Amino acid sequence: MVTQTQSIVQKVKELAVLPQVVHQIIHLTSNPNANVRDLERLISIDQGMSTRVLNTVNSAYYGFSRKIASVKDAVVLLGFKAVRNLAMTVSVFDMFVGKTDRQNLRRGKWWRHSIDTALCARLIASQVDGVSADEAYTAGLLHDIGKPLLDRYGGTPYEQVEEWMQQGMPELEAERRVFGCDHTEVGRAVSLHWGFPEKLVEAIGEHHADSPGAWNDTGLIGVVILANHIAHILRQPDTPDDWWFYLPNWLTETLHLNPQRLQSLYLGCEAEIQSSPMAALGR
Amino acid sequence: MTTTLNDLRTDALREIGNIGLGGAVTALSDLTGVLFTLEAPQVMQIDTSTLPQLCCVSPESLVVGTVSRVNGDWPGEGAFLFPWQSACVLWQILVQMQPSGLEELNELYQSVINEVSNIMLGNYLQAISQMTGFTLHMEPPAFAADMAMAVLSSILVEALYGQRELLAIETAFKTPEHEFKGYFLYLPETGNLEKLFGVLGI
Amino acid sequence: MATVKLAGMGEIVWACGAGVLGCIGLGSCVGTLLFDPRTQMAALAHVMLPEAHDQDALTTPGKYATTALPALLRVMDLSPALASRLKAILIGGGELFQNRSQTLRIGERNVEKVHQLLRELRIDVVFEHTRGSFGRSFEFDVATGFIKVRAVGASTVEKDLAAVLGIQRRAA
Repeated sequence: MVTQTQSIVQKVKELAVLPQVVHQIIHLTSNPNANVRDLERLISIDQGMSTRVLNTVNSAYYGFSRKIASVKDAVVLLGFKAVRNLAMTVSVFDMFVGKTDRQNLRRGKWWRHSIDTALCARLIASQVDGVSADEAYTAGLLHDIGKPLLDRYGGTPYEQVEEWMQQGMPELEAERRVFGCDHTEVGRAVSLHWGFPEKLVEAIGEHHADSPGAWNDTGLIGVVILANHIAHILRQPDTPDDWWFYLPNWLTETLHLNPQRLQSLYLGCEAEIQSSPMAALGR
Repeated sequence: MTTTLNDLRTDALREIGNIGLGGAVTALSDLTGVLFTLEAPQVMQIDTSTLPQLCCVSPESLVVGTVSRVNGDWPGEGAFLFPWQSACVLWQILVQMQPSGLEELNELYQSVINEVSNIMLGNYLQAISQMTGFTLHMEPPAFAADMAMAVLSSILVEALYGQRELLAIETAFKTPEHEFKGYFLYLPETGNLEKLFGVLGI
Repeated sequence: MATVKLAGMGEIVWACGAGVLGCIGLGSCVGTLLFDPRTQMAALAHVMLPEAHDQDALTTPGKYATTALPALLRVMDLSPALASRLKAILIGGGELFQNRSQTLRIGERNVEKVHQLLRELRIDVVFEHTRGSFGRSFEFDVATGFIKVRAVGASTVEKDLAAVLGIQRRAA
């Protein structure tokens, strides 16, 4: 029997094209021997992308007193890693863009949340042991990739999910009711199909996990779950004092977090989102 | 840039270059008995990327150069640059001989170039001082013979020291009688430009 | 011969595995080249002055020794903690105008500053052609580890640095 997930994934496999650049940058991130030459070659393949990378670098956020005219200059000023993350962010954005205004509004919100989560994940990873900040950034950026795919290829308008949620149904359950599968399942299947590194597939597929599984990189999954959580509450009008109360125990244990550290991570994430030029991307 | 350069001010700097170097070239003509003419001065705001456009000499060719510190109301550095062949023309005219290469470049040859620089820069400063009432003193020139880019960059880096940007007033001079081209550069401290413009009423 | 990437004043260039890096007409400036034996990547800054005086350094980090070295590490994607695996090559820093009445000794100070910063990063200098009273041009072949330094009025210096840089040449 062909399950709903399989049929949606089949459709996605046929129709959704992962930008070549995203694919290669993801592999660049996980390759310790990758270097500037690889990045330059990558970016030069896609003229539109280097233009967009430079537009972002030249945005008021970075505050350089002269115009940065080449990817080479951007690398000198920001460093290899920053430009690589920027390139990936810019190209992942395309996967979120919708055709209608209504789609755009919804996907714009998802996109903002993806960037927020990526920034939070990078900050959290930099402060816990054993998780790569760059991998965390990538995982944060892509964790909800299943959503725009469901929206685009699911065969039913995503509005129906939103309607169920307004009646109090949890998100994943609503998605399963409407599409027969949820965005973590689609995300996992598609990222597997696209040949993402195993850790990244796990992080995308498990970012709503309640209990720990036999994972390769529990730390990375923990970081993405925490980042996702913080990114959501940071966009809410008021934050309850005990916001971490609903975090699963295994997560706080894996990352060795107590309420004090959680609070300081929260404040760090808040500052990160406010100050990052990435946060303005694609708006 | 601390001082904004509008067209009027650029013109004024160009005119100062003209008047100043007019006097200097007359002095050189008196010294050599050869008539020298000026090309129109160029005023350039230099960031490092425009450097190769200064003085039309190939970057690794051999040049002879001098640089003198100028103190007083319009401080800066005054520098002369002669492609090797042009320096040879000066030596031939002034001491009736020339070195066959760098290894023969003795103190006599150096002092000839230093003296030429001394007289020309002295007259340049005098012309400016007459026009503006500024007091200007120059220190004795320092000499170098080396690849063009190395000489030029050493002059500029020193002038750039402690400044954000560099302004260069470049004037080329030549003579129809010989295969000769010389370059003069004045690199004023940009912080002092307002004083000059003030005196000139612009 | 591979294409030569020249670093103009204050500029930073790089090459990985293949290519030639160099500077033309270094006077008091110091060509500061770092080589990573692990990735076979080289990056070169044409350093003009020892220290930054203003915010200018933000957009042209290659100009000043104090900002050029961090920029080279950024380009090579290395944290200062890992920098000790790099090898350094220094060219330039001459004083062309010897008889100046009052000199800033920029060439000498550039060389000193770069040395000090390299010491702090625990980076070894494997080849150096600095100071003196003359200008230099140089080219470094990233694939072979061959360096060639030219000066006016002096013979060209050529040296094979493959062994000290950990370059394994592929058999022809």
